[in-house]
Amino acid sequence: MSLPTKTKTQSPPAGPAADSDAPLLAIEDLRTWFDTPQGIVHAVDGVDLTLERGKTLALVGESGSGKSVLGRSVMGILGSHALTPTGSVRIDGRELRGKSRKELRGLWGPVVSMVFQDPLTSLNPVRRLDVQLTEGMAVHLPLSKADRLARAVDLLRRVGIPEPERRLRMYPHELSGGMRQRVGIAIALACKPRLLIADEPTTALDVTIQRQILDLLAELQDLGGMGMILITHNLGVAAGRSDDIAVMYAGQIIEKGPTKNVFKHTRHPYTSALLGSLPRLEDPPHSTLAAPPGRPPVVVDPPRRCRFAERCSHAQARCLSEAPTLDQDTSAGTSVACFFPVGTGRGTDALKRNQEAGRTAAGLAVERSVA
Amino acid sequence: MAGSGNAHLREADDALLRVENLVVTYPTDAGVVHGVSDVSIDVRRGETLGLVGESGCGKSTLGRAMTMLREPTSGRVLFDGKDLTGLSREGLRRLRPRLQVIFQDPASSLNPRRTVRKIIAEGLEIWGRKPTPEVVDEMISAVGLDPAVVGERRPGQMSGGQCQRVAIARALMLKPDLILCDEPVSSLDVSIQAQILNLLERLRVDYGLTLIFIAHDLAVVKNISDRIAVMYLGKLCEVAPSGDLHRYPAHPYTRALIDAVPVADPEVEIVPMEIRGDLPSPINPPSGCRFRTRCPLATDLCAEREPEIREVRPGHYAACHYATTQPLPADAPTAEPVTV
Repeated sequence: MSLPTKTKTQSPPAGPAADSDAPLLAIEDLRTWFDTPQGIVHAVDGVDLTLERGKTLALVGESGSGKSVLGRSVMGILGSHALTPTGSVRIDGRELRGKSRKELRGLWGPVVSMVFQDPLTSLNPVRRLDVQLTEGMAVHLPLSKADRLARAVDLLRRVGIPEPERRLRMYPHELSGGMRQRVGIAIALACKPRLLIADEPTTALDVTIQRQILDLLAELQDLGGMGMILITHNLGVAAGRSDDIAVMYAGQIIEKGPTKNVFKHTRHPYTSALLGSLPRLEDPPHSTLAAPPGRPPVVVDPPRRCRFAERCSHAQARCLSEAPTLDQDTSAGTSVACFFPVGTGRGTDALKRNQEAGRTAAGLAVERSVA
Repeated sequence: MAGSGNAHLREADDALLRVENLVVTYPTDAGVVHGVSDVSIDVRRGETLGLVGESGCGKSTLGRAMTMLREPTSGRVLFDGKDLTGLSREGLRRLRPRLQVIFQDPASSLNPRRTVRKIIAEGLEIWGRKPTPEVVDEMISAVGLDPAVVGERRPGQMSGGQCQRVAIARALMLKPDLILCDEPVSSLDVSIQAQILNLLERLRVDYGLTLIFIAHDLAVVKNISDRIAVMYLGKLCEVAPSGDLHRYPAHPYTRALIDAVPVADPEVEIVPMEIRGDLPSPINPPSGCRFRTRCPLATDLCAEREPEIREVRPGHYAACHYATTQPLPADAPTAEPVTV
């Protein structure tokens, strides 16, 4: 985050909500498109999401599903080839879309803040940690320089960095990957954000360090009542760390609901395939993993059809001529965008038909069932 | 020496690759780095050995020394009964087709200016056995790619998963006995990771391969391995059959690695992790047991004396003074037999 250090911008009130009845975050029909040589890419294509205060929403999907672009759309840090997003992004009832860069800067830190996947590229390599930790505070918090440094030490201690006073004078390259990510989190938390967007914060790290960082985020969130969007490609990470899950595919949410329900009553074949991809310690060695074939499409000129149909073992003719909408599934307690959901009669029949035929309506080979 | 000893080595005759008392050190400006310190391990033909541990534990260095990509400082590397450490450069070069490698970052291990067909054919061309276009395309199909689509592409035009498939095809072309897979799935999405794990498993069976598979995620290693060696700061902590290790871990570090694997079930309560902090410096490793500075069980004994690796139950070895050695419960399944 680049925050002006010299000029004092008037920051909006960080404390009480502008509209205390509104959810912390409300996204409505958000569309973020990019102008590329291949055409207009629909990276985020009609997303609705809400997040209540103090809760965690896990945004799950493969690379290229649009989940990072969604996070960046909320922050307002899209690249120059992004078209102006349409739809609405409100935090505490305040519309963020259409705000100027200067207005957004007033929000980065106290209102919304982000942790990036790769701390080596998100930290400034030529500035010491004390500078990077305190520059946001200088703008947003009524603290003296000494108090800001004291807060920086306190933040480093809270994220589990030993000898924080000494580390303040270090540069990012002098720290390990896990330590750097802790610093990235400390910077994101420096101005007490109401909403934290953590974009694959542990993907570049070892499982042991991943575990420590996830524990840390949960702990810090419990203390401050901060809302969090946890972006990850790993449903295993989402399972124990979120209240709600939204699964994203080709720019759209295809399944969402309370985490427990999404796991207990997984309805979308894509979610089911992501779960099948996870190797589990309980399974015997050499178990075949139920991975979805292929990879997510780049959506240019979205077709009127299900975007997952090519990779889906349930696909029927209807999936190729009509786009499913995200509808409530009362039996599961979630919402799902699928004509033939897993765990329903329609879905079971569809899979059976495809297994008997040895292929889906989209031409994907399916293991033939023994009649 | 902590984590040393050779109790876990099997009959030398059974091993395709066997390393004894392997040491790898390298000098740096800050001092001598102890990458691998007196490690012995073996791999049988047709078996997959998993090496697991955190970044900096020496698993990649061990893998590279086992395949002579890096000359060990001392110790023996026996491949098919022959010691490779005494071999000349030319002798090693002649052996290289039998010992292939797949790296973590396929984009940087493939020549960006060559096409897929050229990359895959190159290994045999070096040996004057230029493969026919049909053979190359067959290999591209064998790793699950469409030769008509990707054959003339260059690495920059493909995804990470596709590049990794090309790297696998390149290794397979030489009909190797053994492939070292150095974190081949660590930088991939779980869906692509699963595709590559399935592919490696199928190819292992189809081509009768022996694999050494390195990763930091125990669930990934468990999926593909017959036998797993857990490494910490240049030493072995535990060696066990893959089906046995996660159920009856004997070493506290193994238990920590198990706890660190995220469980894809929101109903399962997250148990607190027993270890904290980062790996100590391999330049100045702790005395005695190297894990003691992060170990919940550590006592004075661990600082004074290095634990010797010992059998804690049949076929299951651990290097810890306080290794769990209770017999298995009566209903415990026996270790899965090795499928060759």
